[in-house]
Order: sequence, then C-alpha cells, then structure tokens
Amino acid sequence: MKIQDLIFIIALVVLLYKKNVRFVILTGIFFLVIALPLFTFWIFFTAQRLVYFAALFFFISAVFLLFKKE
Amino acid sequence: MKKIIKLLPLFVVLSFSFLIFKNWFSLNPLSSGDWTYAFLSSSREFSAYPQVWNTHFFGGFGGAIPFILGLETFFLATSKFLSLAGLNWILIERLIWFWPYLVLSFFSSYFLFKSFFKISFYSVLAALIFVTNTYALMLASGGQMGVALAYAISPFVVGYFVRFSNENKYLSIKSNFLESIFFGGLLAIIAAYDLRITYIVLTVLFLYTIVVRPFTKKTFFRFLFFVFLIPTIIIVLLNAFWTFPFIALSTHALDAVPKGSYVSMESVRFFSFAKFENTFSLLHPNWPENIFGKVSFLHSEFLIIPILAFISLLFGLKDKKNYKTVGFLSFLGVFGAFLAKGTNDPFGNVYELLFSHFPGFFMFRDSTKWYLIVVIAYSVLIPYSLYNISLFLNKKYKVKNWTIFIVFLVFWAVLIREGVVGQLSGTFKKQTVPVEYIQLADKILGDHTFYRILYVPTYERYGYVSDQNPALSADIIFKTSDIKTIISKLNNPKTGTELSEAGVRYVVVPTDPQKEIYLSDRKYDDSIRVNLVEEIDNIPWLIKLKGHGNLNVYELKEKRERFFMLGQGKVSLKKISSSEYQINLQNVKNGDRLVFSDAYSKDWVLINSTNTNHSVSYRNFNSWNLLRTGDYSVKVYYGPQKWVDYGLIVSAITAVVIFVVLVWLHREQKK
Repeated sequence: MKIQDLIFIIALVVLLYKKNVRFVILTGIFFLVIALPLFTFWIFFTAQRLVYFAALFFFISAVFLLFKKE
Repeated sequence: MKKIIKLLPLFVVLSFSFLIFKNWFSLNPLSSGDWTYAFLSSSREFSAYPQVWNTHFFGGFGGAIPFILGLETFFLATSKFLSLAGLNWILIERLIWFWPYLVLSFFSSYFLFKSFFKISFYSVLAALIFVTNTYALMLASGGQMGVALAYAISPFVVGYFVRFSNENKYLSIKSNFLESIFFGGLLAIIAAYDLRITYIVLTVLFLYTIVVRPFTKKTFFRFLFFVFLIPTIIIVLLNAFWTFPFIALSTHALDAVPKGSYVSMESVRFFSFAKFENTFSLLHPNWPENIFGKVSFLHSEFLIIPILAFISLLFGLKDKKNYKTVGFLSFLGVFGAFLAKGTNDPFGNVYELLFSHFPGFFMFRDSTKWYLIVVIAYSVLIPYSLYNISLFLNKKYKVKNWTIFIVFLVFWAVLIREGVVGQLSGTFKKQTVPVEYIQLADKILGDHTFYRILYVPTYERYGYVSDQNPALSADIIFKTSDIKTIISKLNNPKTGTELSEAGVRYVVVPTDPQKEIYLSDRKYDDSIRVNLVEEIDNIPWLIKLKGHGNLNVYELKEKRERFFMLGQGKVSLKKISSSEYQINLQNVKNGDRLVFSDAYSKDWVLINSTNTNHSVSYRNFNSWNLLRTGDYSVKVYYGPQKWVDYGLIVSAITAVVIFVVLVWLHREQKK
C-alpha cells in the first residue's frame, strides 16, 4: 500500500464517519478533476489511484441512494 | 413551427452523427475487420435453411457452429433472398445490417432514457452518447455486426424490462401475458444475434431486480412468472433450431473453436487491454486507430465523461422521485467499468475467478464486451445531469437549454474528433473491391467443380468462398502465423500431397488492399508479400498462373474430390446440403475406404440400407471402411442436423402460437 492509498482511505473513513453523502460525492468529483492534469502530465500512478477511489466513492454513494428510506 | 423547434435537437444530433457514418450512405463496400464481402453469385448459393455444419469455418475444413447458428442463418437467408431479388452486396449489407444498426441504436437508447426519466429536451443526447461513444464506434468500425445489432437492441430490452417490471403489478392477467410474450420475443432476437450481449443484458436485468426490487411480497410470484419464466421459455423455444443442436452437441458444441488459446487464463490476461481509467471514462483502449493490441494512454479529457455522469448523484440526493434510479445507474456504471477492465488493477483476480468459476463467464475472454453496461448507465446519467445543470444555471444565471446542449455537443465533438473529421478506419473508410479478386471469382465460378483455395499466409476478405469452393487459411491449417514456418511447411513435398488430398486446387497470395496482413510492428510492409511470393515461386509442386494482375495464383497439378476412394471403387456424389450427401459407389471391393475431406467428426455417419456407421478419422478427415462390395448408394449425413430439423419445427410452432396469442390478446384488450 502506498502513501496515496492511505490518504484516500483516511479521507473515506472520515467522510463515512460524518455520514455526509454529499461530501463523498463531491470528493469523488474532486478526485477526478485533480486526476485530469495528472494524466495530461503522465503522472500515472497517483492519477490512477484518484480514479479508483473516485469510483469507490461513487459506488458507496450509489449504494446509499439505493438503500435510502423513501 | 413549435413542432419544428421541438424536433431541432434531434435534427442536430442526426446531422452530427451523419458526419461520422457518411460512408455507410455511400456505394462503397463496407468490408473491414470482421465484416465480410460476398459476391452476388456466392450469396445466391447460400443456404437459407439452417445448417449446423458449416463447410468453410475454422480454417476451411468445416465444423459445427450451433453457438452462432441463429446469426449465421439470418445472415445467409437474408443475403440469399435479397441477392435473388437482384440486389447487390453493397445494398444488402446496408439494408439488413448497417442501417438497421443506426436506426435501432437511436431509437432504443432514446426509449431507454424515456423509460427512466420523463425529460424531453436532452433525451436525444442519450442516443448521441449511445451511438457515438468510442466503444460503439470501434465495434462498428471493426465490422462486428452481429454484436453491434445486439448492442443496438439492448437498451430497448432494458427499457422495456424496467417499464414492464414496474407496471406488472398493476396490469391485468391478459395484459401481463401480452407484455411478457413481447418481452420474451425481444430477448429471443437478441440471443440469436449474440449470446454474450444477451448474458450482459440479463445481468443488468437481474441486478435491477435484486437492487431496485420492483415488486412487493404479494406480487413477487406474479413478477417471477410473467417477467422471468414466460420470457425464458420463449427464448429457448423460439431459438430451438440452434439451442437443440447446441444441447445435443453439449460436450463438443465448441469443438470447432481452437480451445487452447480461447479458455486459458493467459489469453484472458492478454485480452485485458482496457485499464480501469479507460473503462471508467468510456474510452475504448484501441481508440481511435482500432489496431489490435495497440493501446494508447488515457486521453485525459475523457475524464469529463464520468464527472458528468456521477454529478447526477448530487441531483439524485434531492430528487425524491428518481433517487433510486440514479443510484442504480451509478452502481451499474461502476460495476460495468470494473468488469470491462478484465484482469487489470484494481482487483484483477476477481475477473480471473469469475472467468474460471462463474457459469457462462468463460464467454468473456474479451472483457471489453462489458463496456455495454457502462454505455447504458452513462447514456442515461449524462443527459439527466445536463438537465439538472441547466435547471440550476437557468435559475441562477438565466442560461438557456440550448446553450448547455451546444456546449455539450462541442465537447463531445472534440472528444471524438477523429470520427467527426473522417479519420476512423474500418467500415468508416472508403474501400473498393480490387478487380483481380473479381476476375478470380469469375474464374472459380466458371469451373463449376469442387475444390478448395488456400490463401497464404491467411484468407483475404475479398477472396471468393462458397460451399462448393471453401477457402483455407494457411495460418489456421498450419497452426502458425509465422510466415517463415508456413513457407518451410509448403516447401515440404509431403504438404503438396496432403493439400491435394484435401482438394486444394489453387494457392493464392493475397494483395492485401486494406493493409492488414503484411504487417511489421503493426505497419504495412510490402516486402513481406514480395518475399513470400519469391519463396512460393520456387516450390516445384505449384504452377504459377498468369493473368491475375497483382494477385499471385498458383495451381496444384492434382487434387482429390470432396469424396474419394482409397481402393478400387469409384465415387460420384449429389450434394443435398452441407450436412447431407447422396453418394453413388461403383465397383467397390472389400477393404475399400471412402474418405470425405471435411474436418473429422464422429457425428458424420454413413447410412446404407442395413446400418449406420460413424466416421473414423483418416488424416483428420472423415472415413468409412466399406464392407459391402459392388455398386450401391449410401447417404452421408451429419447426425446433429436432425436436432436443427426438430428445433426448427418447435421454433416455427412457437412463432405461430406467439403471433396468434398476441393478436388475440391485443383484440381482447381493445374490448
């Protein structure tokens, strides 16, 4: 596990603890926005990690929406 | 005037799409990639009746094709009837395959979007995204039209399922039957086109069922009966003409597929070209050149696609009516992206486990098929996001809908710019049939006799092929794509004898007009062809023929017939179909052996008045020892064909019953 993974996991744990799905989604979008220039400048490792975690954040948000009470 | 303004977005999207697909509206052949070219004369000889034994698949010696018999029958029957009606191949391929693909794709993706959201203005963008994303364009460019048509219909199937599964509990029994039968028919059609796409669509439907749960405790069994059971029965029965032989051949239904390369884990890893950032961004790994194995780095602008798709989650949080739909589609998008990356990170071993152990997953050596799920999700989520963004911007800054629409269109055009400016290859590029291939086809047609034609190093798409004159591909029959190895095998005099016995009369070195054969480091190198010709010129058992232009054609001095005798007796035959031959034997002596030079299969049987004998292998051909002497007739028959015959009866009865029931139910509903 690299330092980037650790940072992202900590971010996820904090957001889940706060139970604020809006922040989880916004963080995922933020990750993708940051990944954009990283891919452009071929900083692949961090960029890939950002995409993985963005997807994970979106997945968690989707699950939340699916199990949200009407 | 209002109607015109309402239709303006559709007109803009159609005009935009025309820029990409304009070659499909020309009079040039579209043969490229997997898509073939058929001469008028050969298409008139196609068998409209389904034949489970195909004489020129898998190298040119034939094999059983139950797993694609539905698609193959559709291809052959439509080509035959339209060519008999006087249409040439250029019109046939457009009328039956390419234009329906466009029409169905547009309509079904629009239908899918409207099945989820009642939003008008941005709904055509769903069609734009579905038809012109990089995965769809690479599929269409590569000529994989069976997969493409299944792809085109799949959103309609998903949309119909969503509507039906949600309305099911409110419908009367008669209405439920009507919807159920129609839905089953849709699934049956998609199953005939491509089993893998059907599997993926069924995965989506299954996920929708368990995640969204469009039923209550009371309506669960009703849901199960109408939404799953009846359609499943219809899929099997309507497709009985190929599902029956597939089941009958079960242990060796895929014998004709070269196994070693297909189902090994090494091949799964090799074919996992797409990385997660590609699949998540809906970027096909071979975009835009579509050269096998050539994968480019992520074009970073494609990351805007998932941003647009998943920003819908923010809007979904506040949308009391549609939050579950947004949740499901977002889940689907991530799920599809995860599978489409194959064995790549993250957690590539999950795909390996699924491939090894999950039923049916062995069909997905090529993981890019799972892009379909990403496309389905994003083609609905992105227009939904744009709609909500436009609501927000309109409220805050008075930004009009058309502004958002045009901005997105410009962004999309920049994203797929290679398609817009006509730089895509394959079916999007103008091709012509080289005149030397037309001349060769005329020569073969003029002979009216059986023989095989060997293409070295591989079969070329404009090569004439028919049941009477199957084409062999040297790389398949010699089990190597290395030209030096092929040449050394051809230099062996034993090979000449074997090819003669296989009925080969001509050896052809293709000209490769589409520059896809003679490649060095993925670049066309004509010196490979020139050297090959020089080597083959020196083979003593091949006579070079003149008058074929740039095409190098060689003739073997001798060749055997499709059926020949090892011994004293003589053979003459009448072909009933590719699965049945009437053989007349004369002067048969004890110990004579009848040889049939299609690929060996124990399911080939020789039937005479007293018994039935299974084929015995003779140099990978079929053979029978003849115990009876004298003159007599026998039938040589491919046993599993009888399952096609039984299945066709079942399919026909099912089709008639469905039609009658649908008409009756429809009338009852109107009362």
